[in-house]
Amino acid sequence: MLEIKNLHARVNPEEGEAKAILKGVDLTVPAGEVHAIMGPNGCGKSTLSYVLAGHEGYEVTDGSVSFLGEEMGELEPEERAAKGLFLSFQYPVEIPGVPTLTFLKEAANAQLKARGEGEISAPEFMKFARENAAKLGISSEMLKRPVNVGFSGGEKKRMEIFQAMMLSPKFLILDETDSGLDIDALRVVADGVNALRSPERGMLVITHYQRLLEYLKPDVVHVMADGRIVKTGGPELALELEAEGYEKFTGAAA
Amino acid sequence: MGVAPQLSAFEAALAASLPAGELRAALETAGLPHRRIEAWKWSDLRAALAKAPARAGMLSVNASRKADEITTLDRQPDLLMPRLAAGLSEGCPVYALKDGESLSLDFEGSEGASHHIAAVNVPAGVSATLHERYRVVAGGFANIALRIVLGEGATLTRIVEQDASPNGVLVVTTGIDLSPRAKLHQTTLGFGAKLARLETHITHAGEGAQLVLGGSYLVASGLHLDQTGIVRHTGTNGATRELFKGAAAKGGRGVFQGKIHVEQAAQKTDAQMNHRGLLLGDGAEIYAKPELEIYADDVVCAHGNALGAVDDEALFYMRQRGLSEARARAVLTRSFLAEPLDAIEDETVREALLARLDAALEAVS
Amino acid sequence: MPAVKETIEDVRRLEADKYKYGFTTEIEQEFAPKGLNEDIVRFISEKKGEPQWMLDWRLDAYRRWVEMEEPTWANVHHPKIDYQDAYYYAAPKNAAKYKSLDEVPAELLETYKKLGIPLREAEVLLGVEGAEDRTAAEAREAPKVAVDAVFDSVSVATTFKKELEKAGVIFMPISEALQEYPDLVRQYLGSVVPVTDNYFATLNSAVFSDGSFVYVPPGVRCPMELSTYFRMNAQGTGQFERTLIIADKGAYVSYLEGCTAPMRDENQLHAAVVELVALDDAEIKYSTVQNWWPGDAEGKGGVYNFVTKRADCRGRNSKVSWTQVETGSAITWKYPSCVLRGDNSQGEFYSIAVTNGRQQADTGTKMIHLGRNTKSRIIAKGISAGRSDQTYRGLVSVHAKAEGARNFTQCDSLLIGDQCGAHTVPYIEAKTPKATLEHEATTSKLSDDQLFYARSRGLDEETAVALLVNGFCREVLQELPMEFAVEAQALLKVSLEGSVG
Ligand SMILES: Nc1ncnc2c1ncn2[C@@H]1O[C@H](COP(=O)(O)OP(=O)(O)OP(=O)(O)O)[C@@H](O)[C@H]1O
Ligand SMILES: [Mg+2]
Repeated sequence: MLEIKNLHARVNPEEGEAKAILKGVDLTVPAGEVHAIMGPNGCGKSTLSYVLAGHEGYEVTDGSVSFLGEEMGELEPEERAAKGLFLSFQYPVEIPGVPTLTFLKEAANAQLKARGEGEISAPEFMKFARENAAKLGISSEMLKRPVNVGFSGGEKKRMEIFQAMMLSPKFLILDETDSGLDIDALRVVADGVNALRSPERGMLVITHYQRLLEYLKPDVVHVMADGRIVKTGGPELALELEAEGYEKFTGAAA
Repeated sequence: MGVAPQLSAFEAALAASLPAGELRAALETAGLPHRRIEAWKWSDLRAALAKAPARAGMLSVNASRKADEITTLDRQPDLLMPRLAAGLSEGCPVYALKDGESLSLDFEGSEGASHHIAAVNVPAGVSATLHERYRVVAGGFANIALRIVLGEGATLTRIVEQDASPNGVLVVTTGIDLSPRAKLHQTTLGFGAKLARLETHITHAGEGAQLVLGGSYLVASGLHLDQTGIVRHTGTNGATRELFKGAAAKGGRGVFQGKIHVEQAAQKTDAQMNHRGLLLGDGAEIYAKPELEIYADDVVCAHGNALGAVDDEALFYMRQRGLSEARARAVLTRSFLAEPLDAIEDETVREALLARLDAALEAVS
Repeated sequence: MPAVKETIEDVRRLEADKYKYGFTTEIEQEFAPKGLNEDIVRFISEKKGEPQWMLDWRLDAYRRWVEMEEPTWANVHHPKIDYQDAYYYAAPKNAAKYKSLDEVPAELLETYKKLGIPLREAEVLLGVEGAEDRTAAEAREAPKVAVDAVFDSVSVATTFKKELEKAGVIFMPISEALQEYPDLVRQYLGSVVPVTDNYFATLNSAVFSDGSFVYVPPGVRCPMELSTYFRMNAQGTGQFERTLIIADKGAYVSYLEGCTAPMRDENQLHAAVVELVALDDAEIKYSTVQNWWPGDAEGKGGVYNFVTKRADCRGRNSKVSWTQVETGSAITWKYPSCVLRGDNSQGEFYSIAVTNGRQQADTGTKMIHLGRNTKSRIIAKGISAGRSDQTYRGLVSVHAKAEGARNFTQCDSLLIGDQCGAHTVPYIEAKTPKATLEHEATTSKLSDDQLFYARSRGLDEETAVALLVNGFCREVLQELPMEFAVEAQALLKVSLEGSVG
């Protein structure tokens, strides 16, 4: 469902020189599977997620990404979203002044419209929102607040999953959705994510910890180092990493 | 300033309509305020009126009730524009607000030059609302001076709406006295004119008095809005919060000049001033001068100013969730500008102002 | 550099007499006749044996100056300056003829020694060179500094000229450069600060005496710090130095400037012009520790420091950084600025200004963004104590074509005592949506909690204040070359003595 071939990308920062970060990523996630990516800080995991979502700050210099059999090429972020790609941000952005539900309703309708489907009615949307919020332990007071404003780190992550549930994407990228969550919240969020698992849906889960993977039971685990996938294996690979660290892989990549 | 200027026909006619005396001499020697005068650096009134027809116009004032009395107003801020307004008006209507009252004053300037003064008193302990609205038709110049006095412990909610007035020129100068323990919450929503200036001078007596100044503006092509506000803290324990947010569309021009002056006696003043401006397109211009002038040491004063375009990261985040770029921009701009208005307590008034903001945003996008 | 360390020790030792630079040097000097007219301008030009074009330039400036009015917009107050009641040229007798340090009179050498300025290269070299095997760390600890020493209207000595020449760097008094490199001077002089820029710059253009000239050729990284040390000595004179620094393509230079003057009851005028030009990929770092005599506690005497400093970042990717520590002068009027003309050019302004007693300072910067992706950063820390008054005045202007421009400004003021004033007057102009400008300013007093905390750990109040003030200024102190930073910290402490308690 998601096919990444020899992907090279670099960042063109405001200050300083352009810097190559992704140096030939190869990765395929078939529908229905959950793949995890682990790797040391700064190896390019978030960069990969931004590139997949179409962030303009990163420039693809080589390679390709195809999603549902279609080249992503130069698609705008909202076009990718409408195709069903959802990114749960490592650092969700605060948007003062825009109430969460207003935002989500607008997003949902924009996506439906882009796909040529009819809009969702307000009461229907509200009902769906209440159900999902309840599943994640999100209070109605939180839903009234502007997007991510004033939320704690863990609350923000919970809201990201809430948004995923509301938008029903075909493919989820979870960038360290587990970091900042307390033990109970981690279970709640993992349950939410598991509820989204289906034979038609793929997921790419970026994480540093085994704990989330215990709940999500990924089909495949990839190790990323210095902008490449350096090792691919089953769930046991995550355990191995937890025990031994990244040293042997970072060495291999250098 | 050095050599006497060549008065325009408009200025000469204005001077001629004044009785001989100090005020007339002042106008004749200096002319109307222009860009070489520090306080008018970015709003050249003289240039805006250079070709204005030199004739008298009419200012219609639509008040929700009759004035309590008509007096001659002697305590205008000592500045040329309000002095001119006073010198060219016949008497000053005075409104003494009652507890719970909401007074509305609608001003409309016709073609030609018109001047007006008015005074509003909020007696001690009284809580009231004042809602003003200004517009000037094309070819008109309206010069208005207001004086507002809040007695001890009085509370005033002041709403100022300034309608887009292409080819009109507007100057409103307001002098406000805030007595101890009084509260003023002022919110403006402005759309500019060929040149519009809303100038406010507030004397803040402190001793528990609280001032909240909020303002939103949106200037479309060819429109200019200047919001100038000077707050002078004279007593201890005064608080001031200012939040101004504005956007300039392609060809629009916004000016924010804010000054917080803390006298030596005004210890324990807590004052904060913020201005944020969005430039929506090429050829938009925003000018800002947030000033602090502090003579007391035990104070916490701060100001901030930020100018730029909508936040790229927020834009990306919204697009990731499926909003089109144009839509994401509109939503961000709207929520940006709405913040000062959101602080209006009265829901009907708030919604009305937000609706006007939305309509204006629709028109510029 | 032992001499500088000594200075710091001296500053630390200071107790009763805070201003240790207040002595006068007894040396025979010659003067131009008192007053200012075309003949005086000719006199100065002739003394320096200038080419005709230079004299014409000066006369043109003088004629324009006569027509100008002294500006009044700054937030400073002083009695009207009588420009006829001053000397516009003063120099130790025969100064122009010193061929080498051996000819410099002992009194002068002594003066600079007392000020902690090494004029004899041998002194500077001591413990720095000679040992080939010294470690890199040691070398960094005692960097070499070339000095141009300006005494009233003339430069009396310039050190390390030979070594700099080897690297291709020209570092000499501007009067000498006019003889040796007239074309270079002519090409750049007045190209950043035009003759008619402002009242004091025009005055300077007519009567400027000496100052430094620096040219760093393409691709050269200047092998040592350059510095000029300005000393006003003679009574009743003004100092009108002119500095011109050019960093050619890809060049780098770091330049330091120090200033002191004797304690006198009269007000002396110092109206300097500094012009910096940075071409493609060049970088200039300009640091100032300004410690002119501030006048006594009652406001008697002190230097009027009315200075025009501007950098033209003419080339792509050029960078200029101004760092200033302003503790002296009765009145300061100074806005080191950057015109960011080249695409991707950068301007920085880091400033600490301390006013005490009756000092007045109106200082800040201008950042004019003309090129694309230009960046500027302004960090200004103001400390007002005693009965002083201080204003930060700044302009950030982004022109319509300066897409991608960015500015960040932070201005913080600290008030010590309730008799002083602190003001912030920023002007911000944006004419393109593709720019980001951020400005933040705060005014407060030293935190009682922090003071108490420091004192409960055993610091006396003055030390605690000095510590907190140093913390307040840290971001700027960091930008100073190491030796200067230490000296600046000591200066801060001395400047604030007697302001608490
Ligand atoms: N906008 C940017 N400007 C400069 N450098 C960047 C930018 N974005 C990413 N980088 C650099 O690229 C590298 C990869 O960053 P990335 O965020 O993808 O790492 P990561 O694998 O997600 O790390 P972590 O586990 O800490 O989240 C880092 O060295 C980072 O500093
Ligand atoms: Mg990451």
